[in-house]
Amino acid sequence: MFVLDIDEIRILASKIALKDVENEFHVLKNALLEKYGIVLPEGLKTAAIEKFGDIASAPILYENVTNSIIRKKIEEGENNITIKNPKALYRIGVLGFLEPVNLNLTIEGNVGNFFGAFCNFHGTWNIKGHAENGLADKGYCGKFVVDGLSTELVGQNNQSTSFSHGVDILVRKGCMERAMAQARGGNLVTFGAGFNSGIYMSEGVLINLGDPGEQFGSGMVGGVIYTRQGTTTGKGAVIKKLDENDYTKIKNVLEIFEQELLIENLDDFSQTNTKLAFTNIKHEVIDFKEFEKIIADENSIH
Amino acid sequence: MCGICGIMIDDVELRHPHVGLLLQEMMESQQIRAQDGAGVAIFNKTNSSDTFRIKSFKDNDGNYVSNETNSSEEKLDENLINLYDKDDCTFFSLENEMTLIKEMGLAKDLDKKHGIRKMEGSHGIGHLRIATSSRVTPYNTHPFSTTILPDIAIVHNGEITNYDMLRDSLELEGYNFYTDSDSEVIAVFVASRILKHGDIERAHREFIAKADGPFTYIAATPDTLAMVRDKFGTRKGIVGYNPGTKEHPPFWAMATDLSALDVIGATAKIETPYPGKPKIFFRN
Repeated sequence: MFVLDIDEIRILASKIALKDVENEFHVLKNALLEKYGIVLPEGLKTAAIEKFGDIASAPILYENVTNSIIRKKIEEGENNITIKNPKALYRIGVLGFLEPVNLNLTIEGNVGNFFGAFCNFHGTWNIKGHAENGLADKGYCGKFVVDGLSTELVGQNNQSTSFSHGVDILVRKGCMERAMAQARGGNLVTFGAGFNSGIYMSEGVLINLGDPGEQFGSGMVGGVIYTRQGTTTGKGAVIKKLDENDYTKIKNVLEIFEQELLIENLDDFSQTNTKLAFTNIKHEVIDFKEFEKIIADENSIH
Repeated sequence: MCGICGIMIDDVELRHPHVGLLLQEMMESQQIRAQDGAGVAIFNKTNSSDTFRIKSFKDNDGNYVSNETNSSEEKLDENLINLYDKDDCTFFSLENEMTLIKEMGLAKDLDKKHGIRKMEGSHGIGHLRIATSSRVTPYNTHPFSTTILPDIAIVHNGEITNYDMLRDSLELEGYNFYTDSDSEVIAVFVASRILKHGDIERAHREFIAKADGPFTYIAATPDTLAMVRDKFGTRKGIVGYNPGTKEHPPFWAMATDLSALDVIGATAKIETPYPGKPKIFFRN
């Protein structure tokens, strides 16, 4: 297990003063090379100063360093990493490996936009706080668990391809708007989803275990949304009753998160045994008889 | 990808109304979103007087210097016309109880120069600008105010795609524009409608009905703070509440990023305002 406290890097960087930025950038560069084995690109110095006036307060420094350290640790064979004090940094967990890597990543705090974009991993990435826009944007493979809220576009462009099945995401406190927008695969389980969720979906599964939503599935051409009765749809989507295949599909997706949700009687779940007890936070029994599915309206696809 | 924020103290006695501090924290936490300009407008009833402040930027060969003129109500129109006629001056704020400050650059530099953290009031708004549709100048920085009514300010994230059409029609109604930013049209439109019928909610609804494009804006007047989103909800905007403690009053907060609400502990009653329906808070 490797623990990266980003505050340690903030302390290192805070020693860089503007008066002698050239020399002091090299001091930081050498310190990071020595401590973490990573090389800071020279362009970062210019970009940080141009955009943020100095290096120490530039979020792009910490984004770059965090991702570089994670990459380095993976290359060294580490597969359990914890990040402390992320302070809502944008774009962390963007690693750029072509082949799936094995990594369990725990984030102790909030993450900013595009956490885990383009991800391609086996393991679980657990965010102990909230996530902002575009969680796992264009993700290929991996499992995310968000303990807090996610704002917009969770699982946006979730990718199912010839070499990937898409990303599986659980959001415990709910997603705001446009969850699984333009998803092309993967699965999202959430306790609430905002307006326009499932907009332009072409593949994948969205299970909303929270309150009914509004304007779901606008322009969808594939995939399926399971949600409570009372949810409204956008143009191009229709509401249907669940059939036996749907119960199997829901069961398969919930099995991915069985450990996190502590679901009782999932093995027996079927069209005739429709109640599940979720015991992860509070004991909540959900009866899927109250659910319906939203799919593409065949009549609107040309 | 601008960053916007707003605060409304929810306390009749206005204990420790550190609106500036809260706005500054929220702006700095969203600095990654935008770095071209920063600004605030803070409302404080105790500043209210018979004298109005007209603020402008004077262009000294590309170096913009902020300028302030005091005016009585009777002389206001005359002073504003004089300013409009000056080619090297650009109006940016008409104030009574409001204080509007904006500069190019970063939020931390705005605070260093103007002491934003120490500013007190009942409510206020803040903005971080990344230039998209207009030049990087101090006058294109937010918040935007108007010469139509004093003490109105808006900050905006998004694009008003039918800006030209809206501006043309407002100019035909006789309203002046001072910048080349699409965001100014929101301030002028809302102020013109308040002047017309006096109903602030209706003014925001009329703007939503007329405007095209993805936008979320926060508008402040002496008695209101509103978050307004386009009818499709295509730009983010989140509202939260801090219930207060013995040391500080409760307050409503609104921002682009959830993390901006988190840094000031405003994560109770989190919601995204309904697309196309103004979310308005009234001063106690």
